Amino acid sequence: MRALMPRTLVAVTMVAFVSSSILPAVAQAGIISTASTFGFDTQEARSANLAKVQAQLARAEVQKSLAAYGVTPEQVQARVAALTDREIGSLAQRIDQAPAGADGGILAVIGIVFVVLLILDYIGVIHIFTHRR
Amino acid sequence: MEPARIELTAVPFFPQDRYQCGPAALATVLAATGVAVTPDELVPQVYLPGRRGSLQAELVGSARRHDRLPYILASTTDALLREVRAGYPVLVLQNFGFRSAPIWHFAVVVGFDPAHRQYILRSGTKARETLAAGRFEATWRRADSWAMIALTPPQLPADTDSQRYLEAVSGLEAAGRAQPAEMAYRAGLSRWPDDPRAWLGLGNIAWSQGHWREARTAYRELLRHEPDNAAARNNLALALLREGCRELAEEEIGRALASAGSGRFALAVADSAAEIRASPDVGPKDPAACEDH
Repeated sequence: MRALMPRTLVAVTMVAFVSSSILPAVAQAGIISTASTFGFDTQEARSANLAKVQAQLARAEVQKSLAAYGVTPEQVQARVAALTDREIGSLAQRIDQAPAGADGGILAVIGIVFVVLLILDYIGVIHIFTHRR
Repeated sequence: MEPARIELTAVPFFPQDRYQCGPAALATVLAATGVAVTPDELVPQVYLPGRRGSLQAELVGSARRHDRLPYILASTTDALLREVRAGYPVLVLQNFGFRSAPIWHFAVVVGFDPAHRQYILRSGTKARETLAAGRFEATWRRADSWAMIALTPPQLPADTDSQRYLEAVSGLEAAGRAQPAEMAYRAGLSRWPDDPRAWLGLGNIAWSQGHWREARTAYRELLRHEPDNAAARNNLALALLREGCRELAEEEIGRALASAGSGRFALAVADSAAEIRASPDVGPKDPAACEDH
């Protein structure tokens, strides 16, 4: 309980700060969104408001990451807007390790194998390439 | 008895360019639902140049931007094949490397051949790839058995997990796709009549469009089945306030405060209560609106 006090204080400050700066209209902030009712334990002490603030911060973080990975500024907005707070939350925590389906790895492996074979062939360990002399 | 062979032959194929299996696989499942889209058009929506690949979450987000309902499957081959049998091509993540040195790849499962124990996929540059069941399942398991389908609302998945479905719809709603989300919630109600989560979603969509009366009806419908739902009670009070029914709004927010107790919506409801108390009583815009209570 004692540990909770400063966190609550920080949360309240953040709510005040964020709702006055990022959220478009304070008056519209009252509605409880459908998405926020999923994925929580009803007994969870953390309030929905705090979760909302954390989601705002995580969103900014993910936007920064996408931009750093080379996404154009106009796409960053739209891409992040298509994700739920939960999705943003888990991306913010581990976007660097999140799987990025690429297939680049397979090409890299093939490339390395090819170079190794070429070297072995060149120094005479194996003979698989046709040499013209 | 051995299950029947299934292959969704009508699913289109887009050969991938280098690194771009994400856009190619996503284009495959979207085009199968009738979206006119090519992988190149999806690159700006899902490709991460710095990672030379695409993230699962962004495929989900992009599907929403095309008004499709991305639905993440339970991580079992049964769940996967059930959707294929229902006619939905399944976008899967595979890991051809090791857990410690992964080689990620997105592909689309379009069929299964029980006689040869083979999965049939659209994958990479292969329009029809067959993978031995053991091999496919190993690569899929190393990617945490992640699989997704793209539903066109009001389509429902073969899966009957209401929580999974309605949470997926709430994602579509959160992404601002009101119209398909509304259709999807209604489809949900047709399968799970009176589900409070679907009613809350319908109310919130009506709210987001400024249709206070419609929002109220949905919240009331929910509260008829779940009188202690603090979220619906809070939102109902705010909808009443928007219509100028201040007295009713105060009454409802009082009930919302009681329902919220010290739970996770306590702060949000307290905010609403403060907003209602602070608002000037200008009287209803339409007095009749406050009477049919």
